[in-house]
Amino acid sequence: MKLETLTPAQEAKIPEIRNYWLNYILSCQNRLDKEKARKGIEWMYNYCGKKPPIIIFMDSPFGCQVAANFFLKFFENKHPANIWANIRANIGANIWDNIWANIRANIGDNIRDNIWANIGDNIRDNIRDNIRANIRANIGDNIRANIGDNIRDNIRANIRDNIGANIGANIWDNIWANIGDNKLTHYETSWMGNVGNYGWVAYIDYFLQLKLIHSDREKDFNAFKDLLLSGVFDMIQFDGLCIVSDMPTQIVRNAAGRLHNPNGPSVEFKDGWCQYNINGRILPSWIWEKAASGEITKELFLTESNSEIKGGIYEVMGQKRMMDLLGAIEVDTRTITHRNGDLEVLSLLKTKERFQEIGNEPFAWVKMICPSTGTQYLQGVEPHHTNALDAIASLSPFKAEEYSFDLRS
Amino acid sequence: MKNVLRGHQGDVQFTGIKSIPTGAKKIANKPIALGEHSGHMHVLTGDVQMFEIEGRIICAVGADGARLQHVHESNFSEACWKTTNELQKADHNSHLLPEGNYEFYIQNSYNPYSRLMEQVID
Repeated sequence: MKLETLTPAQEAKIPEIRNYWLNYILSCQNRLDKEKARKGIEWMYNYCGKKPPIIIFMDSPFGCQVAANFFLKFFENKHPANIWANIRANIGANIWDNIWANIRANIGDNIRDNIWANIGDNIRDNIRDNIRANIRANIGDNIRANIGDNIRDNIRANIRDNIGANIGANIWDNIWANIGDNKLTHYETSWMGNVGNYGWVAYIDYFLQLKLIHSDREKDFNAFKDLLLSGVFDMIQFDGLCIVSDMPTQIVRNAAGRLHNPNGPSVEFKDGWCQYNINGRILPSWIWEKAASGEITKELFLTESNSEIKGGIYEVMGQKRMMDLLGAIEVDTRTITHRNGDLEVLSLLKTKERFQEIGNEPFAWVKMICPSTGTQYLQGVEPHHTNALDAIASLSPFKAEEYSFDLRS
Repeated sequence: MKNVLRGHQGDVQFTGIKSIPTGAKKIANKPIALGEHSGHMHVLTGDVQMFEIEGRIICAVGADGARLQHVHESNFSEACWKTTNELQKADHNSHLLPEGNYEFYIQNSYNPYSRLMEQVID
């Protein structure tokens, strides 16, 4: 008979287990434990019928790509007679698909079948939505896939400036000097053995931890779980060689869980490799650098043809600086008498120019003053407004005639 | 609704409502809004029970009243939830709310690039 209801204690474990896995990476407090990772990787290769590989630990997933290029391309070309040539001779194909198929079929699918057989639909759906899907969206889609796409796109396009944002000041100088003019190859990263696996592992972990199912694969599952909890961010898995990345040292996200930081890198690794995002969009670092040094000019903004870059400039500069930059003018002023007797002066501001990338409309803002601090605030409003009161009411659930408060601060 | 209490504290606005909406789920009290970078939060403390339904933030304030406060998270502890005493304010003055039901909103800002309203997070 299938389990159809959870006790309150079992319900309470849902957010606990989900948050444990989310915080494991989002806290940025966990670093790679090399011995634990080595043990886990040797177990995984053995489990998939492969001999233990040489293991190389790197500080970032980009570092892993560079290391893979060194081992598979550059050492072979430059040092044919030395030890590296021997090592190279023992490195086989990328076996991410072999490892993925083995772990998936023998651990993931096997235990999932067990869950299907013993746990009712409603509980499975509950755990799937609240643990697996949540973690997958937060970590797999919004972080690992985002970083992976950035590295893949940049390596394929051979764009170095965007790959190492701190290139002038860190170890990448030496790496580029060795690579010379050779183009990097992008190597497929793991499908099993990275932070993107947290979702399905946490899902199974819930049922096993609470002893809601019993599985003869529990020992293997725990070995794989231990590998993930050794601080591995990702890896490149060749036959005979495994290159492993440490976790990020910084992750900054917005309320929707997307990588986002108008003030600096959204993700950073120990070797200085980092990337910049606005609401999940990967953008070049020069936006932040030029904004900090005051080099964003009206001309630069207006002549930039990429609308995503323009959107990034808008976010990084902030509304007040953009208003100053674009020369907004006041088009309407209203004074509200609030229910408590306070007078509030509101202004509607718009740019004189219209901008192609926002539908050939002007930028528009409403300006208000905080009654507690006297600070001026600017909030973006839709460009069709002509009345400051209508504009500010449109940012709230209140109609213009209701926009009057008993309590204000 | 006329003559219901309406208030505005920084990016948070609220209004009195007649009753708790049908289907609203009781939740553990939590900050109404958390600043993304500032560490500031808008929090309702005192005799209060929070509810949620379809993303709406609903609060039932009991006979002992509640206080809407704007505080830095480092100045807030578990013990603060039950008090209507004024805590060390971050930017915005606090407000005492009498018994009743309230809905809270977070102010929006229009993003001309996404062409969407987005919640303001300081």
